[in-house]
Amino acid sequence: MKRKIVSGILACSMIGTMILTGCSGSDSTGGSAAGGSDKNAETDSRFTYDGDDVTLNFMYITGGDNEFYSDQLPELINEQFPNITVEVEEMPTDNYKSTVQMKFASGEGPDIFEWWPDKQAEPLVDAGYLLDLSDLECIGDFREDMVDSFTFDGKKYAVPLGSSFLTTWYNKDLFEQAGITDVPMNWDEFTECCEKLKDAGITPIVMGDQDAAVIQFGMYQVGASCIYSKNPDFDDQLYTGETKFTDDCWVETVEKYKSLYDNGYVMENTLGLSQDQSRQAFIDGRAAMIFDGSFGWEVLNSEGAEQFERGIFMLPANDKDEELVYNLTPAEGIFAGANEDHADAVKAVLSYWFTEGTPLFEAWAESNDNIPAHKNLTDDREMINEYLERYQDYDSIYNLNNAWPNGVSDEMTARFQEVIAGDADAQDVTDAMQTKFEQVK
Amino acid sequence: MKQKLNRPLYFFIIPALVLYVVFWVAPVLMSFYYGFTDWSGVGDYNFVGLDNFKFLLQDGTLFNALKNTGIYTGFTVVFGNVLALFLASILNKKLKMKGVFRTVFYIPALFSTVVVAFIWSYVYAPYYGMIYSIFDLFGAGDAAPNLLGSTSTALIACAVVEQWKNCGTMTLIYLAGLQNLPDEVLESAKIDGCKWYQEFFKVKLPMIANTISVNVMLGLINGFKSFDYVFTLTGGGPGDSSSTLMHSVYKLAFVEYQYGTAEALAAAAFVLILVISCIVLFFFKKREVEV
Repeated sequence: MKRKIVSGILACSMIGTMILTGCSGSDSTGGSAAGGSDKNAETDSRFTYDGDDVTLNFMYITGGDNEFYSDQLPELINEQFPNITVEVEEMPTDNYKSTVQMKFASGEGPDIFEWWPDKQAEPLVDAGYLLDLSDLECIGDFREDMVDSFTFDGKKYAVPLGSSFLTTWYNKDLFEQAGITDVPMNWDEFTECCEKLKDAGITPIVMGDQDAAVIQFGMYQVGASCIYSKNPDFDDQLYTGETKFTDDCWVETVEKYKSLYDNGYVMENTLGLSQDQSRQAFIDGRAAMIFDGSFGWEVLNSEGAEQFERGIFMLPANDKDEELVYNLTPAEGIFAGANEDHADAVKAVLSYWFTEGTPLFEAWAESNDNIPAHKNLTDDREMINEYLERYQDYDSIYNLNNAWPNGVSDEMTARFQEVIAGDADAQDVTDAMQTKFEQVK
Repeated sequence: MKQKLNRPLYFFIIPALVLYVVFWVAPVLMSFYYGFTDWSGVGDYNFVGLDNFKFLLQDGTLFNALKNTGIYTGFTVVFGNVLALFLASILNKKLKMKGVFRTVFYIPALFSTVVVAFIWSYVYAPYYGMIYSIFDLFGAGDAAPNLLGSTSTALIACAVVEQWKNCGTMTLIYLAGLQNLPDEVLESAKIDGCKWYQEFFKVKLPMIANTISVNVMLGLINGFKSFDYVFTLTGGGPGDSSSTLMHSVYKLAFVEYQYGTAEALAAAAFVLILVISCIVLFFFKKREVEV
C-alpha cells in the first residue's frame, strides 16, 4: 500500500513537473524567441561567422579599465557570434611579455592580444607568429601615423588602441605660490621654474627612481628635444652605424637630466621611493612636479592630502633658439596570432570590435583611456586637449625605446640609477647603452 | 633470493623517476645546451660556442652576480644562524609564556613573500616609512638612512628581510636540536664545573653539529637561490648593486630576451652551487658527533 502511495506521489509529481516544464518550456521558448528576436535585433548582420564553434584566447596587460576586457568583451562577442567563446587572461607587464613569447614559442600563442608597436613587435613579426590584418576594413578608420607603427613590410598587423604621451604633471597652486605664471617652453625657463620653487621652499620634482622604469619618463622628454630636433632620423641611423648612443646629443640628454638631481631640484632619496610612493608624494602636495605620462591620469588626478589644481606640460630641453620636440607615442595595439584555424573567427571579432557603431565599439570607446586613434573619436579631457593644442605646431617623437631592441632602455635606467647614487656619470650611461645595443640589435 | 624479492619494488619508482627526469633533469641539461646558442626566446637560434660564457665574464655580469650572491649568502648563513641559535637558546630555557614566544617568532614564516616585501617596502621607504618616522620623532627625519636606495646597503637590506621571514623556521630547527640533547651529558658537564659558555661551545655546539649543518645548508640554498626579495624590493638596483645570480638570469631572459646568455649564466650558477654545497656538506659531515 505504502509503495502504491509513494509511486502515486512520484507519478503525480512527474506529471506536474512535465506540465510545469512544458509551460516554462513554452515560456522559455517564447522568452527565447522574444530574446532571440531581441538579440537578432541587436546582432548586426554585417558581422557573421559561419565556422565551427571556436574558443578564442584573449590576453591583455593589467591596468586601466579591466572591466571592459574581463566582462563586456567576451559577453558582447558571444552575443553577436554565439559560436565564438572568448577566454580572457590578464597579466602585469613583466610577466605578460615573457608569457606571450613563451606561448608563441611553444605553439600555444594567444588568438588576440595586446602588444607594443614598432621594435617591440618586430621579433614576433619576424618569427611569423602574427596574423596579417591588412584586409580588415576598419583599420582604415584609424589614424595612419598610428597604424604605421604596427605596419611591417607593408602589412598591417594590429589595430592601434590610441596614443599616449610622456609629460610633466605640475601643481598649479605651488607654481603660483612661487610666482610662476607661464609653463616653460625651453630649458632655461624650466630651470628658472625649479629655482623659483626651491627659493620658495618647495621641492620642485619628485620621482620614484627605485622603480628604474620611471627614469624613462624624464629622460625621454629631455631626449625628445636634445636628439630629434637636429636629427629626426637618429634611431634609423643607429642601425646603420651613422649615429651612436655615445654621440654628443645623447651625452647632453643624460647630462641635462642628471643636472636636475645635481642641483637639488629632485627630492632627495628618490632611489628609495617606488613609483606609487612618488605619485602619492605629488598628490599629497609634497613636490610641485612629477615626470609621468597621460597614462597616469587616474592616479595623479586622485585626491591626496592637499587639494590643488593640476596641469601638464612637456619638459622642454631645447635651448632658447631651438625648436621644442614633444612626446606623442602610439599606445599598444590589438594583434592576432597566426593560427589559420581561428583566422576567420578572429577577423570577424576584430571587425565587429573596431567598426564604429557596434555595441562592442561603443563599450570599448567608453572604457579606452588612451587618446583615441580612431578618426571619429575625440578625447573629452580638457587638460589633454589643451596640451595637444599647445604643442600642435611642434614636431613630436615616440617613446624613444620604441626604436630600440629589448634591453637597451633597461641598461639606461640601471646605469642612471648609479648616476643618481653618485657612482657613474653621463658618459658611463651612454657607453653602456651603446654596448648593450650592439650586443642585442 | 632477497634481491629477487625486492626487484619488482623498483618498478614503483619509475613513475616518480620519469617525472623527475622530464621536469627536472631534462630542463637542466637543456639549459646547458641553450647556453651555447644565441636564442632570443622567439624564432630560430644559432650555435655560438662559448660566446655567451665569454660575454658574461667580459661584461662583468657573472662577477657582479657572484659577488652579490656571495655577500647575500654569507649574511643569511652567518647572521641567520647566529640569530636563530641565540633565539633557540632563549626559548629552550624555562620561561613563562614560552609557547607564545615560539608562536610569535614563527609568525613571519607564515606570510607570503609578496606580503613581506610589501610590508618592508614601507618600513624602509623614505618620507613614508617606519624607519623615517622613528627618526622624525626625534626631529632627525633627514638623517634617516635610505637603505634600499643606496648602492652600499640595498643588498643587505634585502637579506635582512629574508632573514626576518626565515628566522622562525631556523629557530625551530635549532630548538628541536637543543631539546634532543641528553640531560645526563649536560648534567655531567655541570658537575665537572663547566661555565655556561664552556657548556655551550664545548658540549652543546658539537652535539648539534648535524642541526647546524641542516640550517647552514638551508641558508646556503636560500642564499644562492635569492631572487624574490631582490626582485620585489629593489629590482636588482640601484644599478646592479643588489642583482643576485638568479635575478641576473631573470633579467637576461625575461627583460632583455637573451635566453641563450641567461641559460649560460644559469648553467654556470648550477655547477658553482653544486660544488660549494658538496664542499660544505663534506665539511659538516666530518664534524658531526653521534648523540
